[in-house]
Amino acid sequence: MTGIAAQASAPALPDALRRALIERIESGTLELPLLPEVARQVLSMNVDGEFATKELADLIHRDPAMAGHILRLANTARYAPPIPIVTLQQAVSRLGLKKIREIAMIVSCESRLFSVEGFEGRLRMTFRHSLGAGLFAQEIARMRRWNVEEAFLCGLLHDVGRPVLLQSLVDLRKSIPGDADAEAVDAFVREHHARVGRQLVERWHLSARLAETIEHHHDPDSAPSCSQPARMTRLADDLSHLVVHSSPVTEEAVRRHPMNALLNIYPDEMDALLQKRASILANVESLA
Amino acid sequence: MSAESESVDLLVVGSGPAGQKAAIQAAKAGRRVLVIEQECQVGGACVHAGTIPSKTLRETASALVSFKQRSANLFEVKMSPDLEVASLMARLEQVVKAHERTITEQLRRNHVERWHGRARFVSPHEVDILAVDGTKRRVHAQLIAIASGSRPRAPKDVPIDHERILDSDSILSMTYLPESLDPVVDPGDALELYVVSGVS
Repeated sequence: MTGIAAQASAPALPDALRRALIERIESGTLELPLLPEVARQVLSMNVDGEFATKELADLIHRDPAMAGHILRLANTARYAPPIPIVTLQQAVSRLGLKKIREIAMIVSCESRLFSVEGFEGRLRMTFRHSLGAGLFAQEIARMRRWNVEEAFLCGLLHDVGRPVLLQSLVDLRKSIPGDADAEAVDAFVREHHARVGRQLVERWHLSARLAETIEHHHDPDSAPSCSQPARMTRLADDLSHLVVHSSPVTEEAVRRHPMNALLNIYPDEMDALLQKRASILANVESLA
Repeated sequence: MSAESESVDLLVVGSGPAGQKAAIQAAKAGRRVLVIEQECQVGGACVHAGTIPSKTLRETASALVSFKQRSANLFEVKMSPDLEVASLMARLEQVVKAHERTITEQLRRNHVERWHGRARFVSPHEVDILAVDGTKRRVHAQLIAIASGSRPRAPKDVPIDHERILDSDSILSMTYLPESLDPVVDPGDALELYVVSGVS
């Protein structure tokens, strides 16, 4: 989450807790939440390229929580319907499959991941930050003429390892005694979230490119084949820090960001990205 | 060649096929040559977004289809649609990188200098170069060749968002094949895409 923000050294978690968590991460046995079934089916639809409006609406109806969220989000400023959307079929035909997929992923993340007992406030901020990163990544991709849909997922999911680690921490503390102070938790999550994010994305059967991008978003040059998406995600991460909530990232730091040259973003293009801050913040407010 | 105001015999704006040939011929004739390229890599639209990518995709798709047809009773070829796109894109990246390496090596071998930045005329023989980090340098040249190439046309009445409406650059970043394509601008480009994607 903190790309160009200063990071201080922090105390460690109690030894037993730390060892238990690391053992689960290393062995790939960390408890990873499932992607809701309806969201999984909606996300797999594009690959076949065969769907009918009514079929998709019927599918979404099977998950009442998701149906409600889709109707609510379909009426927000981001999707700007000319008339109010009151039925799922109307939402599907108006928004199209790409936008429905986008909303399904936002809803799945918010409801399944970013709600861990004891960390609600912090994860609320992380979710808003992730939405901001997704929206900025889309704008960078549009500028570079890359895949806009994939870019949104890179930003939205880049910190998805954080709530997974926090949930595991909460679960393990029930059986392993010892106090973990907030700084120690932050430091552990910061160190391991990218790798855990990759594990979750693979578990959800999302693309290998997305998994690699998320694992390497703090160190894009180490990505074996997806260094450009990882660079884009790192810049979007810091743009979201600047715009969505106050953080140590300054506008000057973003203008001199080391990713700008690698992504070929000239000063006037950075101006154009920063000009979108109000609309991106408004979209985050309406989606989160 | 260092900072502020430099002087060369030939300054070439753009490193696509025309710019490369102009630069290399002048260098072979003993001239001091500088090429300005606004993208990180050399090659221009021809290598990165135009001729080479579209022909590579078309030929790879044709080869795959042909193999499937010819081996009907001998080999069973089964690929998921997303794997097909991934294979096409992986092949595309290999070909583009190979072209890029060849061009870079050709320019180096002929002692053609290359700067990464955008060129802007300040007089008939002077150009300001804006680097991606915002720094500026001025170059004086006896001759200046403009080989800045082309970019996809964006009609005012077509809202190209690179998401639902793509141009010939952004369509190269597809991660799955669409069920159908509706060409808006250039039927020639669309025909190639039909061959690549096999869609209606």
